[in-house]
Amino acid sequence: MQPLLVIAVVADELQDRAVAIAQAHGAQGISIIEGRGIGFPEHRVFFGLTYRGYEKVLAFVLDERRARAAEAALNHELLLEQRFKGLVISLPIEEAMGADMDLMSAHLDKLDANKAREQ
Amino acid sequence: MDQLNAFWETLKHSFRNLLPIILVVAVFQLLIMRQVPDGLLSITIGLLVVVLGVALFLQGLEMGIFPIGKGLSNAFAKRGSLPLLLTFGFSLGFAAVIAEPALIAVASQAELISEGRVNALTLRLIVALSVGAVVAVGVMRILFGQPLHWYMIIGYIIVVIVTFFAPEEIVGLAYDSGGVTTNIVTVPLVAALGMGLAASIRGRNVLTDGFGLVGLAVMVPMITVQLYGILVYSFGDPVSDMTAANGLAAMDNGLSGDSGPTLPEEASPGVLMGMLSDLLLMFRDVLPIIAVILFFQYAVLRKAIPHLPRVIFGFLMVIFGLYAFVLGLKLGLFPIGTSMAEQLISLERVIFIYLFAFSIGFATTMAEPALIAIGQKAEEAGKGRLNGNTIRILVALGVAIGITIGVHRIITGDPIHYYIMAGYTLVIFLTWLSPKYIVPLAFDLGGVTTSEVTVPLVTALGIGLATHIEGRNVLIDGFGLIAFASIFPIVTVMIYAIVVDMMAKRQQRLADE
Repeated sequence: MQPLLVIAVVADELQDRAVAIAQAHGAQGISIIEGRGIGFPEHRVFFGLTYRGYEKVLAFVLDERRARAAEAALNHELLLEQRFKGLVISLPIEEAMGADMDLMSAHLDKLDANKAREQ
Repeated sequence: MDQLNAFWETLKHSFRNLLPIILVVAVFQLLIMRQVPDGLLSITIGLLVVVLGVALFLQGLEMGIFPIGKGLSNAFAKRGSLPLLLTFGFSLGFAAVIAEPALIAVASQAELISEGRVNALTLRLIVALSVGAVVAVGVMRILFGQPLHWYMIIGYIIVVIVTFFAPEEIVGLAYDSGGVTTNIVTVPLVAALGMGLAASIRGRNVLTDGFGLVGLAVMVPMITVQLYGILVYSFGDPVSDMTAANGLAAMDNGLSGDSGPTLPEEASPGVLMGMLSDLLLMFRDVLPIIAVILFFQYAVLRKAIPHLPRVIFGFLMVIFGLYAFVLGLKLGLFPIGTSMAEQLISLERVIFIYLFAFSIGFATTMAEPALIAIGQKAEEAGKGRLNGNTIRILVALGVAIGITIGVHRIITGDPIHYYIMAGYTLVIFLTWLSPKYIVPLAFDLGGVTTSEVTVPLVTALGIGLATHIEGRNVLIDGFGLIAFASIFPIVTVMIYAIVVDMMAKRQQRLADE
């Protein structure tokens, strides 16, 4: 399986929902970074000043299939294509250390099994 | 688990913050008065309750007050409506001040000493309106990115000029009403508004643009209250049927009680009820602010508060923390503080009084929760240029110096006019000299120092001195110490920045050669 690093940049108020979606798709460790950002097109407010919003950067690792599903879900459920919402991208990972891969895949297997039972 | 760990860290931290106080009390008791203080147990319990209260309060600020202040200013910036933003700034400033218990106390006292020329309610309205207006002006300043130092230099020149003309009775009060407008809850909230706004606009810096609202809110009441004083003393007549007892009672109430709970006298079923009603009182004091926040959040912005459960929990922690904090102070620190002040005064060794004023000023400021929080925010915003602990030590040093000078003034009986005018002239001069990045923070810190810990202790000290020294009027001489406590932190912080700046330039020169 090709692991991907998924980076979701979402508006501050979407953080909790974004984390929930990522976890539902199997993400285990999620890094959350606080940030501020300028959107496109720039949001101009009084006196021609440019607005800078609060945002959260979520980073997590998933295998390719699940990462795609998580990205789609984030995009769809959080309406990321609207203004001031955010975006999500993913990058291939060349090497990963510091995580127990057996534990991770065991968790993912259990998740799949649960899903199969529901259907 | 995370929150619990963080809370444990805060708890340890807040215990360390209390060490200076314990040290000062112990040294004075054992070395100078050579006695073990009465009620050692209640003091110990009180101090432990304080530690818990401070920890709760700080954690609550981080979870509730800072996020909501930043979130609101961010939402208003996003909305892009200037009138709405300014209205919000005004309302927040107004609401923060109008119900402030310390201001109510100062106002009724003003009515008393002016023999009814000053109306307590009018005074409160004037202070609240001027603070609201100046917060709106401060918001505009952040948007335009104008440097604060010109506002401060011009403002304080006006303060000094007005002080020159103001009736003597009103001067100390006017300065105190500037100091007391900013309490332990409103300072973080107003500061968060500024920081959040500066963070929400490209090209604005949190340190240089975001700070400064508190400093403005402290300065302006000094001008408006003194103008009001000049006006009523020139045209008003004393109202003879003023019930002096009424005013005194109100003042007593406000000073000893502040927003805080009263110490339960005896263990009876009434104690629990008493504590409950004290807690309710504390809720009542922050109610106007909560009302403003909720109104703007839900009626104007029509947006849910992000992370709502955490924010509510944070607010509750702030209120309970504050309650525990004030209760602990009353149990542990105030009785011993006042009895020590009285004993020292009766020792008639002036040097000990100075020493006590200095060390108690230093120690209480080190434990001041709002200062801890603002120091930390300044460290974050300073990006390595500032250290929270250094800031706190500087501010504590400033308060210590200020209170010592204020005590000296009470002992010698010099007119407060000249001291304050000299103090602010120094502030104006330093503002002009110092590196500009520090100016907004320095003035904000001047406002932070005067809250729940320092004010009651310092007032007790002032009143104690004024009652024991012949020829001093308690009403006039007992006050004004708070003003001294808020001038000198500005001075120490700016001098420090000037020195650091000079040293850095010198090193730069040496490196260039």
